[in-house]
Amino acid sequence: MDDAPLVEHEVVCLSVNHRCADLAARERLVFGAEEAAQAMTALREAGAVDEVVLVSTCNRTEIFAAYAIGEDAAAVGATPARDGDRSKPLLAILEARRGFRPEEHPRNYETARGIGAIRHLFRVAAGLESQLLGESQVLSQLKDAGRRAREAGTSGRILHRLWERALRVGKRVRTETALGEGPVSASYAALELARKVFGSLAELRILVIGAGEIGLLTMENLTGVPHGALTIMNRTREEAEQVAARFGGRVRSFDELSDALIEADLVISTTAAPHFIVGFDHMRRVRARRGGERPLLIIDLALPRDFDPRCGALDLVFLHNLDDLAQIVGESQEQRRRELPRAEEIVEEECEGFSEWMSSLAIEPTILGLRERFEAIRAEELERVRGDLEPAAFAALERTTRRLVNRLLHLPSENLRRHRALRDRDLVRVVHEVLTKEIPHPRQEEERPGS
Amino acid sequence: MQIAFAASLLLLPVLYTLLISGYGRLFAGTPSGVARIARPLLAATVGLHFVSMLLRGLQLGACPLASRWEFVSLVALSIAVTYLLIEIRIGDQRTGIFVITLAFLLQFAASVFMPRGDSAAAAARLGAMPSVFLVALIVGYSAVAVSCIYGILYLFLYGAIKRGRFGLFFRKAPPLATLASQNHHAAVAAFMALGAALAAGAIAMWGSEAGVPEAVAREFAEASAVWLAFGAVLGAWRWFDLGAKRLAVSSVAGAGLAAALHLATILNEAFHG
Repeated sequence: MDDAPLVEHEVVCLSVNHRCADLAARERLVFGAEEAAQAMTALREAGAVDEVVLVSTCNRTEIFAAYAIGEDAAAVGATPARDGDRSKPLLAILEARRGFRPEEHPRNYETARGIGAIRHLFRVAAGLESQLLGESQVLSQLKDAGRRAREAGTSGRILHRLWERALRVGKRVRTETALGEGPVSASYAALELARKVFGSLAELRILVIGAGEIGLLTMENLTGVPHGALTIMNRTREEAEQVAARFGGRVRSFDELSDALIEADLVISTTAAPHFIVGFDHMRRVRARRGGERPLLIIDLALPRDFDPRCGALDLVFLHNLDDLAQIVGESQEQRRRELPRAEEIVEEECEGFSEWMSSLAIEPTILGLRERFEAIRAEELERVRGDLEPAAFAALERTTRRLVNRLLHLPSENLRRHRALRDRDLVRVVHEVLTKEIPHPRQEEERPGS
Repeated sequence: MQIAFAASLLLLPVLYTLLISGYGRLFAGTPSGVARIARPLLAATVGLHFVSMLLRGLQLGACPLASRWEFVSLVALSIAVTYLLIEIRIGDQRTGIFVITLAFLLQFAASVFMPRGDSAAAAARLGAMPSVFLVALIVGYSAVAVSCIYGILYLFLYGAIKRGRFGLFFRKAPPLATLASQNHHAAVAAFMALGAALAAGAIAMWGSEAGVPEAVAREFAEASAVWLAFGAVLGAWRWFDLGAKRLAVSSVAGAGLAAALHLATILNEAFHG
């Protein structure tokens, strides 16, 4: 019987992120979905890594790799990496594909291995490494990266499990803490404010005044959010029509401003007009003509302002400007910072859980070897009595012995996986030898010539 | 039966405390632990509270309104039931902490002070229709109180948004539209329960051969005033587009009217000895 090879695994990570690399460097290293799959496959096929996942977003390009380590790594078809050079193949692929020379940018990347790499991924998933603390988009980006690696066949047992855990960390942090709550940009804060007044945006009539850069950004944020009729008003009608065609709204001219204000529930104003486009008396007339008791929320994102601030004094008219939105954003960020300790606690809990699982992998070959030995003995003994028994009796004996082996091995197998002392590599080797190998009798050793 | 009733009096404040903890977490946005089962737990608490009142009724052999603490307990139950129905209808749990805390305070006081024996029973043996009148009246006034709470929450959030105070309450409270809907449902519940109370009261007074007790007649008159006020407000909401803000103001005013009428009665009684 062949001895089961004794291998361990290590996770390594290379990260080029917003903290260590400027926008120009990050832009250069962005990988599209197809390119990422090709890079991962190239790394895997070159035998540089056993498993690999590449994550590429606007804020980071990260490569996570898993290696088999230890003397027997080659026996399982892995390329054992020497200490100290485990991130080299990862840097090499960036150089080959993007011309990123590490010696020219020694401060533009970070590397981590073992628990450090695992912790880094979990922190990324939790949004703790994001530019906007706690943002949740990174979670879906990680999910996509994991899926791409699975489809490309470059992630295996280790990284698949690591990714599952990372997504779990992201979900836990967002459900068990308030880290992801509240808006973190002015345009999201505007939508948050609208939700706080109207509940849902689904049937909201939205009027956007001004089709400039801020107006476009606001409408982009509305994309994907179910909302009611969108009306666009701009000094230049052609521009308004282009924007309307892009975002699916209708165009009204500035002459119809009063009518548009009467019909709207949410007004987002972003013109570059040098004076108020709606004065107090104008708004008072609009308010009177709106009838009923419909609230009107006006987000004045223009500088100088488009609406006379006194309009906000009218009953059921909520008028907010950039400063108000900055206050909402500031409150959210402060609240998110308060949630940091709990989020970090979750990351550490999950790191510990994953490390335990990784450690238990080192003992798997021993468990496998033990089981093979038991199975071999069982088969041998069954073979001895095969001729003496009726087929039905033999089948019953076969079932009984299989159950017996399973029951005998269950407790030791579980204990081997769980025992904390077996995180020690030397001890694992001793246990492996004791349970799976024929150790020569000391007297035989002495009798061996030359010993 | 006495032991079961005493046990329920001990258990109810504990359950309401658990509910406060759960709804507190739901308001804070960290729905873990008991918060995950807040609604079934509330339904179970309401069920136990109902059984407790039933046991008290069986113990007394009459409607369980023998002392003011039974009255208080019935108010707590009615508030919890009204909230549960609104939560089921609207689906938002973030206001539970405000309403259930009131129910807890009332039930806690009732559990501490309610007499365990039936010595007070004789004082409160009412006929069937007067009992129905009183119970419906309590349910109606409890819904008025819930409506008042929602009115206050609405006005508070309205003020916070209007003045740009984007603090804890702004972040955690449900949207204005949700609070308006909850307020409307509570006002409708108050109107319907008070209407039922007035119908039962009218039957009780019409069928009474021994004459109508002064207290019942007075309650009837007060309830009529509050019922008419809520009817007018809900009519204006339905047909004249009254608006959520005015409904909120009216709910608070309606609760104020009910409180003022009761205060006037108490002062009048005190003045006349």
